[in-house]
Amino acid sequence: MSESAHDFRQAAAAGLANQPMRAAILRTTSRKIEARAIALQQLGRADELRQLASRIKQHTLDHLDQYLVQFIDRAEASGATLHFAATADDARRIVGQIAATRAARVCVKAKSMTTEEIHLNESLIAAGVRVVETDLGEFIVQLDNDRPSHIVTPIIHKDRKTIARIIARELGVEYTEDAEQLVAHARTYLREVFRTCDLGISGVNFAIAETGGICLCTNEGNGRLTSTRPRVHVAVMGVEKLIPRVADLLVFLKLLARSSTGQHMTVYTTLIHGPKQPADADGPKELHIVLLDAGRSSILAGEHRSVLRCIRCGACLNACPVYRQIGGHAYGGVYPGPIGKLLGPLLSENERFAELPRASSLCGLCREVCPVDIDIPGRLVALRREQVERHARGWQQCGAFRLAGWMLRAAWSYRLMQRAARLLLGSRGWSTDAPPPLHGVAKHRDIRTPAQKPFRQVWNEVLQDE
Amino acid sequence: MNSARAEFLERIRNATSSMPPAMREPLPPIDDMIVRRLQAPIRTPHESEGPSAEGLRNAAALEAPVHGTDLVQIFCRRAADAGMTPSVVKRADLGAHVATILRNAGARQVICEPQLADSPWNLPKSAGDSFAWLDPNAGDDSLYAADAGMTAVHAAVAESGSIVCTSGAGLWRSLSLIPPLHIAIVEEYQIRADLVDLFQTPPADAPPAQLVIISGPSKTADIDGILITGLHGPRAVHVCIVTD
Repeated sequence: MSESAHDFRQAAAAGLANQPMRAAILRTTSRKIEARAIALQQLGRADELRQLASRIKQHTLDHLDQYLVQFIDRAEASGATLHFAATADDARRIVGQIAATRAARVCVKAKSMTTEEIHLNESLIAAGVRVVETDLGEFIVQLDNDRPSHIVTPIIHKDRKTIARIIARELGVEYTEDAEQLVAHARTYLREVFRTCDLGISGVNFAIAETGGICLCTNEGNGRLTSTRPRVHVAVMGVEKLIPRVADLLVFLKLLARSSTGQHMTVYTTLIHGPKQPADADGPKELHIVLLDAGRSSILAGEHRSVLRCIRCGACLNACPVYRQIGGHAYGGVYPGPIGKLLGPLLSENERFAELPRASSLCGLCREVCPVDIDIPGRLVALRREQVERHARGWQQCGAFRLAGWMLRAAWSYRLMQRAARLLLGSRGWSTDAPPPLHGVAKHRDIRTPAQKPFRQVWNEVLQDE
Repeated sequence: MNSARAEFLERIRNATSSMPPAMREPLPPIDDMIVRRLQAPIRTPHESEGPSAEGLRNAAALEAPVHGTDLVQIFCRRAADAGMTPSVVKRADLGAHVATILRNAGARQVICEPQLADSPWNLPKSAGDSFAWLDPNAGDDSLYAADAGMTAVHAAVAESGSIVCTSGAGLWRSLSLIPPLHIAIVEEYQIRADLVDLFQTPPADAPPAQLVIISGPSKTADIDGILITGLHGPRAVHVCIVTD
């Protein structure tokens, strides 16, 4: 394992030890799972809708070059300026350049996991731009110099007292634990920032190839303010956000909020086509759309293409028994939860997230709730297989499996293995510990020790009795 | 600049071509029956606005087929569920109704687009003199001083209980966004059945720079899961449906 590898076990243990966080996460995710189930039931033909959504996304990915060309053409026709970022570094440079040439001093950000992924804030701040996160959760994360732990509700790991302390400390207001007052303080502060900002940065939930439009889905209104108040609006989008037609957008609008929080729709669904038009009373004078590759074309080219269907609803996080116990920080990257176990290793250039594909019991709940039917367990197994083939698993593991493979080739070697196992483990039913080399395995899984007699012996005895 | 674009597209093209065309997912047709949750009502020929007549279909999974007035009821129920405050009012009473809303909210300064005065609603005049009517063209100070913003809408959607506002000539996005109270005036015929009906007929002109589907007051539940309204956008949205 490389030096910079994320130590998942340690991080998970830390998460497990954090009782208040676990309680908060369990509470919130339980509520959302329940709400999701009710909301989808109300849809009537939810499963068919999900299948449709899955096929739309897969089709788009299978023809992404076409749709990208169409989107670029239409978006430019509507007055947007398109930029092309092959890497995260390119994207940072492009946005930095826009900020510099437009003399932007105050930048407001609507919540965008993509901009977190490319570490955009840091580079803008380094260039002397004041960057303010405006989504309440992200705002508190920023004030506290923390990291988000959920792709939809970033401070699911913080309880009210913690938030109250942060607000009092950073905004210089009197300490209060009243949620209404806390929100009011944030509103006052952020309202002033929105009044004076000159650059707005957002992500994109969906980009429509047919019309060149981009769609932002928020609950708080900061997405609208970010794309209305400042004179320059920059939207950073991974290429996988594309969908073919406006009619397809409706399929996703029906599913996104319902899968995410159980709402029918996010409070604000904003569909943007270019900057303000000459006769419009308000709106940004410039719209820049930064198309981001940053590893997505590699995923597109391989067997993991379906992972790019993800619409970032967070349903898999809410359902995952692992995430719900350890929280988002344990995953060590920008994307936590089941989808993070795929995106982490696939989008990174090194083995930093090598542990993540194994951080799963493969229970399959994530797949059951995914609105675009990504076979997350299947993809995790595929990643594990790739790791073994790359010898990225360590010689003990590879050696052990190779040995087992050899042992299973013939009846005599199989029986030898059985005898050895009986000697090593005894025949005591389920066991919670085992001698080396199975000691490490037994720490995380109960071991079923071999039966007193192998089945073929029992079978032969039964036949003899008859 | 140009080479960045060309290289970018080339990389995507190479990536997609790794899969043979025969194996690629075809474009799925959008089955209206799967996406719809609410049937569009049958419209008589002289009604020009709203979705095209589709006819009744056998749809056990969908809500019962609706007729004109049902849409108003469904809209009101769904909008209320979403946290908005819908009301139905006769055209002649609209002014007094708006005045009541403003008075109950303690709103004194109201901002609305000047062209609203030319509308059949006779607003803001019909609401009376006890309010100060601000002009958004006067600048940011007016916008931020207003206690309430009053707008017309582009459309409304019964299925999700949403209103739809667009940018356009002389239209302000900020009026439904910056003041803490938003009053939206909706004509009954503007209520579409389902989200699907919103975009059904592609507009002849280019789409507006911004179209926003509003489904409630501004909400956050980031603090301990407690639902609080009015963080960035309005904390209350009153939807007044005007009938004859």
